[in-house]
Amino acid sequence: MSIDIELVADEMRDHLTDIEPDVMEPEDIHLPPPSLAPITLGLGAALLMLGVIFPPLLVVGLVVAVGGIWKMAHFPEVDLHPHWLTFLNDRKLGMWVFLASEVMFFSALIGAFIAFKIQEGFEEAHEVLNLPLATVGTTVLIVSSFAVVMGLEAIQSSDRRVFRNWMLVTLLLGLTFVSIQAVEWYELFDHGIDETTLFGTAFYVTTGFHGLHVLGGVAWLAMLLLKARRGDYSAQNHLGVELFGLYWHFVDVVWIVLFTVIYLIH
Amino acid sequence: MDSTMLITIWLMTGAFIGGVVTPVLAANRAVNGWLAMLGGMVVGMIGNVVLLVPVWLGLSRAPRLDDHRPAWQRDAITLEGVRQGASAGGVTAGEQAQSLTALLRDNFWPAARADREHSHRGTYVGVFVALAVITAIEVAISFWDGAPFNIAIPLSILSAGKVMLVVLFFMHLRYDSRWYSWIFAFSLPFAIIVLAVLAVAE
Repeated sequence: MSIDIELVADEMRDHLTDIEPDVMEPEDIHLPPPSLAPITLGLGAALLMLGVIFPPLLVVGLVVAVGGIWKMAHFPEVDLHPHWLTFLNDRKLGMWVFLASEVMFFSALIGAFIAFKIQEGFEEAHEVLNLPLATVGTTVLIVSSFAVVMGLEAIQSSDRRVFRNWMLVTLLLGLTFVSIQAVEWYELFDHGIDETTLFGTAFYVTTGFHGLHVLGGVAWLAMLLLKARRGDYSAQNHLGVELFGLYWHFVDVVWIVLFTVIYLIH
Repeated sequence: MDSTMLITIWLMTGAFIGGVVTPVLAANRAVNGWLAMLGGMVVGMIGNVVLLVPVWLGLSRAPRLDDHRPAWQRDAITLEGVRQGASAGGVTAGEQAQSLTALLRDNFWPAARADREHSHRGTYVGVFVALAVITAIEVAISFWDGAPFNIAIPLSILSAGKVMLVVLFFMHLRYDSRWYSWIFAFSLPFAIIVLAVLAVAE
């Protein structure tokens, strides 16, 4: 039996437009009501930071932050149409402006590292730095970036199963990367490289901020997976996934530069 | 590393993993989501992954709630699914999976776009392979003692190439509106000024 694929495709397209109309009528658009969840998450993050000074706050901050994430995961996914004049999407534009600010932030950190590096008496810890482990970490991040684009590609054709699988792979790889960083920090501390040495300061601040970005990405991804489970994303509504992808790839880009500057050039 | 630090890391990672993964597993099951989150955090703080895994295994056996969502929300309606199922019910390709390669393809190879327009699957695989190969070359160069040139030069060029690959293809700047590229590039002068000032200040 042969099937006319084009005919089936046409039927499917009709079916899809039946259930998810491309053109939404104004009364179909429901904007989310105001919510305290982002503020809750911000408060939790602030408490987590303060927990560095006063450890019991870590637990409180974690509870508040996870609560905020959980609430935010229940926001409806609103895929705004491009602006009528510029044809730019406001959410995507905001993401790119944020990423541009992040470039400046990380260039200051990396610049400081390079400035220390070319100074006399900068004790580099190349015997202690674990290059094989860091190479594994780099590979893990690159694979996770690949996983995100494959997930995005899948959801753009409404392939929810493949989408969720790749996103889960990304989550696990992100956690793996953070664990690898934790092992690296532990080894360095064990060899007496702490925050009192110049190399220690530069290393911990740069990789620490990068690690925090990865952790933030993991939290965002957890939110995204909760939404994906409810079927929030589809070929018609995948901007949330794309924005997460932009952030995740940027974190990958930062690590590519850090890996070269810290581990490879000596 | 002292014991306080270790205990803190144990508590933090346990609470985080427990609080995030447990509610995900509890969704659509006869377990309250909030309870799953709080319970996961408490169990994670006490026993980290060691105690969490048995809890998760138990949770995955909890009875499923009836799923009232329409079929299109639960499973994909794809061309390849229709091609294999040949029925209008939105049959997914997975049920027919026989071999390991078929299983992998069904679970990890994105379906073709329904509109048959610009699918980037092949491009992404190519970019990924290029990134992996460049990383391998970089690591090999860093082991090259007595190179006739400063190895910082080829390493900088290679990592700049990697950054360009990720930004152009994975972040879609190559296909997207030029405005996004301009906004991103707008930050580069500031980055260069920061680098220059730091180099001079030294």
